[in-house]
Amino acid sequence: MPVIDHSRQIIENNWQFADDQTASVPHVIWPLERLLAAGSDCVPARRGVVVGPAVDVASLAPILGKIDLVAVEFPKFSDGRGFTIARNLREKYGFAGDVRACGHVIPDQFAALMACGFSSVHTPAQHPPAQWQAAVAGNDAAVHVQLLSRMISR
Amino acid sequence: MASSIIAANRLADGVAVWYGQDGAWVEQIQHAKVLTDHDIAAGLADAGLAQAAHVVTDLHEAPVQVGADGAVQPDEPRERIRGTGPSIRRDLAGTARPIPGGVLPPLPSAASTSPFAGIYRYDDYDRQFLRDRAALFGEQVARRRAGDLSEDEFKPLRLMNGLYLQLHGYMLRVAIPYGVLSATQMRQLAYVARHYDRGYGHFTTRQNIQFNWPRLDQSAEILGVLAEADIHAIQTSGNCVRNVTTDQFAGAAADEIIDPRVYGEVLRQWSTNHPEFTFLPRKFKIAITGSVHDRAAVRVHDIGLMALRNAAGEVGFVVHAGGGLGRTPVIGTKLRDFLPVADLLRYVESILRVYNALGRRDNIYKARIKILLREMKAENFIRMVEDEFASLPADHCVLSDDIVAAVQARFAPQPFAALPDKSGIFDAARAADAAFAAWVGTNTHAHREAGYICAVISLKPPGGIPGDASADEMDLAADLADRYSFGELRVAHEQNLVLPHVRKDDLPALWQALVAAGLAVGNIGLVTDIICCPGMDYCSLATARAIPVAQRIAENFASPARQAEIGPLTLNISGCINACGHHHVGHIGLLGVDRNGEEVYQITLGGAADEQAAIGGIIGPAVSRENVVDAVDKIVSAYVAHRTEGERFIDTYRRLGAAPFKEAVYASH
Repeated sequence: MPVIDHSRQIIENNWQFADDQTASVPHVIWPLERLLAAGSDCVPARRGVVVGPAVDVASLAPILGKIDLVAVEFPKFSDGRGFTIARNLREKYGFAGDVRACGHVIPDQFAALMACGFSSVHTPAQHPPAQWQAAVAGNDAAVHVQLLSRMISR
Repeated sequence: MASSIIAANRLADGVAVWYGQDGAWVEQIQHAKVLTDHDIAAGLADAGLAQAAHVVTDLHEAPVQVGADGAVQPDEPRERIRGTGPSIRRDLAGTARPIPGGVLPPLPSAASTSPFAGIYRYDDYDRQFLRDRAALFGEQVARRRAGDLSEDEFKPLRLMNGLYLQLHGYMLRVAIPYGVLSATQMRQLAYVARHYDRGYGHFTTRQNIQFNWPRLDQSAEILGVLAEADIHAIQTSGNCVRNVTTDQFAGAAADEIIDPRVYGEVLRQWSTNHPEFTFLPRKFKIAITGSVHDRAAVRVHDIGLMALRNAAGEVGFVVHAGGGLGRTPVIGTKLRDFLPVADLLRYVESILRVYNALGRRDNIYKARIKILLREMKAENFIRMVEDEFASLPADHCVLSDDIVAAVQARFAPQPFAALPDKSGIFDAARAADAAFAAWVGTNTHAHREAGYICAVISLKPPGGIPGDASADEMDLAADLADRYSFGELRVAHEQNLVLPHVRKDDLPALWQALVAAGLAVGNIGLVTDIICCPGMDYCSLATARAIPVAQRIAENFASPARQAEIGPLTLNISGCINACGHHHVGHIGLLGVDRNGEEVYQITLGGAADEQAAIGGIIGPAVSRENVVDAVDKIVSAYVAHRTEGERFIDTYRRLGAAPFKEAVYASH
């Protein structure tokens, strides 16, 4: 599935999930348990990790410094735990790499995803990039911004 | 052999329809095709194609009995009411549903802005935000109808724009933030009722108004109309932070420490489009009271804020969380004795963050914050919130004095005249007219300005529908607000209207005008001031009707003399366990439930929603629809028989417990 960035543009995806190594791209997104179990020195390339919505972000802390990408899985678009996970990654743990939303997310959530610290979206099959680019074009900033942000910027 | 029909709502306008002959969708239940075991599967498959093609939604099978005359009678009471329309509004059968197109008169908002009303004054940014939101919703509706959004995906988006799908069609819930409305806004609501609905609206227990008959294909247009008067339906539903509610006398009451409108508005802006908290485990309700007398039922909310001044004279809030009604009624747990104003948003955000991460998502009935708090134990929950709070960056979401001042400044002060507190006209009228004096006794509240008073317009006439107002009544209330209350109105969570700033000198004239309009019912706080949800007449969640019971009880106690003799008593009715009618916190509460297809009513006693909040206790087996009025009458009579001089119902109950009331209700049955 195509990946889009913070400006809704399709970007080259160099990552694949560990259990789906069908493509010939260089980097692997590991399940958190496997990465923790493997210790710090087993995977030489750039590393990614995928976490579910129930993850305690604190458990990621020891390895975050060696991670380039955190993929946050949305089992269903209406499960909003991923938003808090992204915020914690950015604000509490200062993670500066790519935070990618994957699973079931919908174009209407794009602005909120970005505001919480996501930097890319693995678009689901039923919502291809064209929908993300078309659905909320134009007035995005005005409509999706937290109303209070005019007065309190953070 | 079992028989069934297939029911649905038409997607574009929400009208209840049934699968008929030749695959047509018919608007009369009697024209529905009766299917048997042999052809139900094929019928559902065929009807399912219409759902897949976005023609209908909420498709379901309804078992029916077919009479000797061929008449179709659904087994489920709810499906019967879907077929006949609201049982309390048979008159609607003769009125048309809204039809798109046609030239409408100019909007009330084009004529006036009600410049003195104490609403939050929008600027161009605020207004454009609402216009853009309305336009965005129009796009979302189009994507739903084109199939780019599934019903599953569209549902939370429409809910976050206030649009439900109910028994007879769509329902639009519009926010009245902290209960404040200008006369112009009230006229805009009347305009929507008249031109996009069926001539009336329903004021709810959460300072919202509901329209029962809007069309999906006009809903964005309605939101656009509302936007022109600075009104919206954002986050009036969905699993997000809902409309923040407060005391209906906010900013006017004599006993206030802070003006809760200001903090209600700050919280509204904070919660609107909050990127992190829009897909919570469940809905989230915040209430705030600016007075030590809690008129906003804050301890039965997910977060309840009570203003107070500490020993140093600083203003802050007592913070409760995890209160709520519904299936599991709970009085909130105190998290903080004193939260400084500057930390308000930071602390609320910390509570929400813990809830969003840990609240249950596996079971809708256990998803509210009250369940999380209970399962974690209060001390652990509080510790997590405090840890979260401590870890926030120091500059994150600080509610500084200048922001509070900026929001306060948007609430224009009313140009009050310097008046003596005593009014000769008022006193003379009270002495001369016992009916006026009685109305003043129940329907007014002390104002902070000398010579002014708050007046309540009861929406609970005997035999009426609690909280309903016709478009004409809305316009009349707006006219009275213009004449007597700086063009300002309030909506109380008890489902009444308030003219907040009336000169005492003007009160007799206002009362006369209300008498002429049939709106001078003097029953505020009395037994007929019944809080009541729409129940099964409208609501697809309800298990029993609520409004007809409220009507019968109100008629039973219609005598003003008897009501006055009974004194202060709250009676709340819900048509299902979700408790929108706040039955748990009524001194007397009635909960309608379905018992094998029969509507029966559970009675609770001893609830209270004020600063001594309590959840009522069930006194015994549910009583039948026929007997429920009699049971309430017996409870009230038992109170009158047992009370001491001047003792309120709730105090008699607290002194004696349930025994004499149980005896009264059940001994003779």
